[in-house]
Amino acid sequence: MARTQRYKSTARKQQSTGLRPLIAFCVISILLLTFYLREGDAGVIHNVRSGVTAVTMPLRVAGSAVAAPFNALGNIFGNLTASEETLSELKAENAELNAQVAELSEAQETASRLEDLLGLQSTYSLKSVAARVIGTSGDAWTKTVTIDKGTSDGFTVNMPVTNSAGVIGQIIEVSATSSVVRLITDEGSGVSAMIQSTRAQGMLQGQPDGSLLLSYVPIDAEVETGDMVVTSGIGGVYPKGLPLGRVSSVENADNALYYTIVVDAFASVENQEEVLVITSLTEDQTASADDIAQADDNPAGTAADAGGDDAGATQDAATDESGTSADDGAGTGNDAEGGE
Amino acid sequence: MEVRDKYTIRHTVAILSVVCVVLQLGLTPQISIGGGTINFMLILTGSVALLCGSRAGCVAGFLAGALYDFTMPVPAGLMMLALTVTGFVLGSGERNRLQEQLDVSVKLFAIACCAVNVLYAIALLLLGAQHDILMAIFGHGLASIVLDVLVALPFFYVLARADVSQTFSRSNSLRSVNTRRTAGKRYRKLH
Repeated sequence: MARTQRYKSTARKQQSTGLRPLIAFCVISILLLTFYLREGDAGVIHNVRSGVTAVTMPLRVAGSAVAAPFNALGNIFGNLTASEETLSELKAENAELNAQVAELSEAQETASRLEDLLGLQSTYSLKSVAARVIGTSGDAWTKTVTIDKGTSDGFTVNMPVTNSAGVIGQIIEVSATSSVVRLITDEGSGVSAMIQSTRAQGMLQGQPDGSLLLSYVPIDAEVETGDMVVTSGIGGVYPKGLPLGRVSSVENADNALYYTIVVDAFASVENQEEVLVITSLTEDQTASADDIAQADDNPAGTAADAGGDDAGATQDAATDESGTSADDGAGTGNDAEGGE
Repeated sequence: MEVRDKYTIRHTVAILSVVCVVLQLGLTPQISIGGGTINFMLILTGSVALLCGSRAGCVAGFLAGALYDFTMPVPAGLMMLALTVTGFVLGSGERNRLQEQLDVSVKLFAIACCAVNVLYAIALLLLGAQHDILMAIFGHGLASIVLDVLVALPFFYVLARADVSQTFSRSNSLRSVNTRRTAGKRYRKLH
C-alpha cells in the first residue's frame, strides 16, 4: 500500500517536472510577444535585442567572411553560360548605366520643361555613410540584410539605404555596431514612388515572390512598359528622384480604378557589398507641402492634366519636382563616389 | 556510473549547443536556398528533446527560441513559444529515443519541423508580417522544412552513434558487475 502511494507520488512528480516549465515558459513567451508588439520601435525588448546583436556581431562578421568565397562560387554555378568576369563587369556597367539613365532623364525633364523658368539648380550632395552588407536576416519570411554599422555611426531607424543602382531599403532596427535594413522587395515595405516621365504617383510595395508592385496609380495616368520608377519624396523618408526600378508589365483590369504595375527593381544586394546610408535630408530633398498637395490633386501626373484648364499649374508643379529630383539623382551619384 | 553518463550527456549537449549557436549566427544569415533558411535552433531543440526528454527539451526550446528571437528581426517571443512546445512534445515519449530509434526520431523531427514552420508562417500572417498564406507556407515554409530536416540528419546520426557507443560501454559494465555478483554467490554457496 505504502509502496503504491510512493509510486503514485513519484509519477505525479515526474509529470509535474515536465509540465511546470512548459507552462511557465509559454506564459513568458506570450507576455514577451505581447510587450514586443505593444512597445513600438523603441522599448526594453528592442534594446535587449540590440544589445544581443552587438554582442553576437563578431560571429556574424566571421560568418560573412567565411561565406564570401562560397557566394562567389554560387554565382559561378548559377551563370555557367558566361564567364564570371564578364558577368560582373556587365552587372556593374548595367547598374551604372541605369543610375545614369535615371539621373540624365531627370535632368532632361528638368531642362526641357523648366529651363526658361528656373534654370538648373546647383547640385547638392546627400549626407551619407558607407557600410557593408554582412548577411541576410536568417529568417525565411522576411527580406532584410544586416549591415556592419549602427548607432555608433549615427544611424537611426527609418534611414534610407541605397547602392550604386538605386534604393535598396530602409533601416528598421539598429544596434551599436550593426543595423537591419528592410529591402524594398519585402512584403512589409512601401515606398512613395512615381513614374518618372509622367509624374504619376503611386506606392511601390514588395510582394511575397520578391517582385515589386506599383499600386494606386490611377487608370487615367500614362504608364508604359519600360518606364522608369523613382522615389517621389512624399513621406520624408526617401529623397526625391532616386531610381527604384523599371516597369515590366502594366495591366488594366475591367472596372478597376488603378493599374496593376509590376516593377523590376534596379538594386539587388549581395553579401559584402558596399551600401550608402543616407543620414540626413535637406528640405529640398523631400517633397514640400506644395508637392504633396499637387500629388493629391493630380495623382495621374502630367498626362491626365495635359488638356485640362490647370495644365500649366500642373506643369509647374511637375517641373519643380523634377528639377529637385534631377539634383537629387546627381547628388546621390556624387555622394556614391565620395562615400562618407 | 550514472554520474559519468549524466556527465557525458551534459557534455554532448553543451558541445551541440555551442555548434548550433555558432552555425545559427554565422551561417544561417549567409545561406538561403529556394526562399528557405536553416533553423539550427530547431535542430538543437529537437536533438536535446530526443536525447534527454521533455523537461530538458522544453528548457532547450525556450533558450534556443530566445536566442533566435533576439538575434533576428522577427517578433520576439514567437519562436520561443514554438520551440518550447516542440521541445516538450518531442521529448514526451521515451527518453533516449535518438539512441534507440533513429528512424522514428527523424520522422518525429520532420513532423515537428512541418508543424513549427507552418504554424510560424500562420502566426506571422496573423501578426500582419506576411500577406500571402500560400507563399508563406509553401514557398518559404516548405523550403525551410526540407533544409531543416536535411541538415538535422548528420546531427542526429552523430548523436545517435555517440550515444550507442556510450550504451554499449554501460551495458558491458553492467554485465560484468552481474557476472561478478553471480560468481560471488556461487562461491558463497560452495563454501
